[in-house]
Amino acid sequence: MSQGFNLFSQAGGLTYSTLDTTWFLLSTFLLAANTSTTRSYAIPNSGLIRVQVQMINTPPASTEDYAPIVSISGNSITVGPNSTGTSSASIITVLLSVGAG
Amino acid sequence: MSFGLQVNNASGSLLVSDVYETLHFLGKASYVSNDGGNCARFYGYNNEDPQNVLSGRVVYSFTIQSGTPPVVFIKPGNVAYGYGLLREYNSGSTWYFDVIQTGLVTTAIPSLYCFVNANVAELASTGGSYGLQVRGPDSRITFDSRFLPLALPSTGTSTVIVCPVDDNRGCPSITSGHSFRYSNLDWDFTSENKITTAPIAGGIAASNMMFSCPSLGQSVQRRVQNGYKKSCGLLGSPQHHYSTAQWWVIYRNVFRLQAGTFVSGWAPYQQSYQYWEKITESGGFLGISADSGDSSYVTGNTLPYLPKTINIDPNTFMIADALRY
Repeated sequence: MSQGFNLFSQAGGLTYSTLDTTWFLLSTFLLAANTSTTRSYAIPNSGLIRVQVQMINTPPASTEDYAPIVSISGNSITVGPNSTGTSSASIITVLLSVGAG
Repeated sequence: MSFGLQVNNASGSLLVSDVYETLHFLGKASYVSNDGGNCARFYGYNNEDPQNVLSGRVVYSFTIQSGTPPVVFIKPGNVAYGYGLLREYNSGSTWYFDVIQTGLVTTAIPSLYCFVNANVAELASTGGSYGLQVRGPDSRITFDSRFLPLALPSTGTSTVIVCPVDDNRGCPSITSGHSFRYSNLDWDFTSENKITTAPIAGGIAASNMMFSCPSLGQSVQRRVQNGYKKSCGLLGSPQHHYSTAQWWVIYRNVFRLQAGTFVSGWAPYQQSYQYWEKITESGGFLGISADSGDSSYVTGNTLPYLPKTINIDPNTFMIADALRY
């Protein structure tokens, strides 16, 4: 490489370098069924928030299993039930990319 | 910045920061078991109709120890099959995962790579004795090269096709006017071809890729055939005979990796066949009416909910190179 940095493991394998791209972890939390939350984060101007929703429960056999609806506005997110007023318990993972990646 | 550490990558994106926490490799979740497979055909429907075939699925279970919910990447056991993380739950610091796979092969066991922030206690024992560590103003570790930071060669957005069944007529329908006790499956409920694709950058071989994209989309579909006949009852009153045959499937969103392509499709999760019939009689002797009520001749599981497809908002996916971890 002509510039940048490489990080190697103790065994000598390349683990990370300036040719890589990543997203950062802003937070991860559990959201109970049928509840909502709004959270704000300090992020740079070039930051972009992404949210991953993961269901917690066994898919029910007798009802719709709605994932919470996520809306992102600038540096804040709102996660909560859909228009029917229901949502399944979920793990919410908030991620951040900064810059071109 | 006035102090601290910031590293940008070759494209100008933030790569290492003393403010934002990088995800690090916690380890592979331990494989526990599988459920033996399901959805090869309709439960309770034993006819040998050519359409009595489903695409099949297997659910695998895994576990890992972690102080926080891990971000999970699935490395397919076989890239010919679709996979999806159905659920993630915990009891204390023990986390459990259920992964659905298309098909009935129980040996294409995926690997689950788990990532957490560098402050999770379970990571402490995994590092070597040298490397680069970055701490934030509150002394929390934001980056530690010993714990294999997560690199994402590709990210994107995945969608699904709303109707999961392969039949070229679309989603199955309800039809009436059949003869009494008519029950003949005539709809293709397989779900191999209803896929969408998104590009994957980075040039990683499909066999080395892993993805993170929870399975949220689900769809219930059913075929119903209503039958009828009229007969003469006791004392000359007319009898009306009604029958209903119903086949239903609930599908879940799954994902497949191809070279340069992220494929989003469906897998059957549960299914059943149900059958009822009833007889009503009216206008007979003295005007007495009677209704036999519903009677089920085939034991079947109840339709989960009326047909619809839900959780179809675009879903963020992340791709990483499993060979690094």
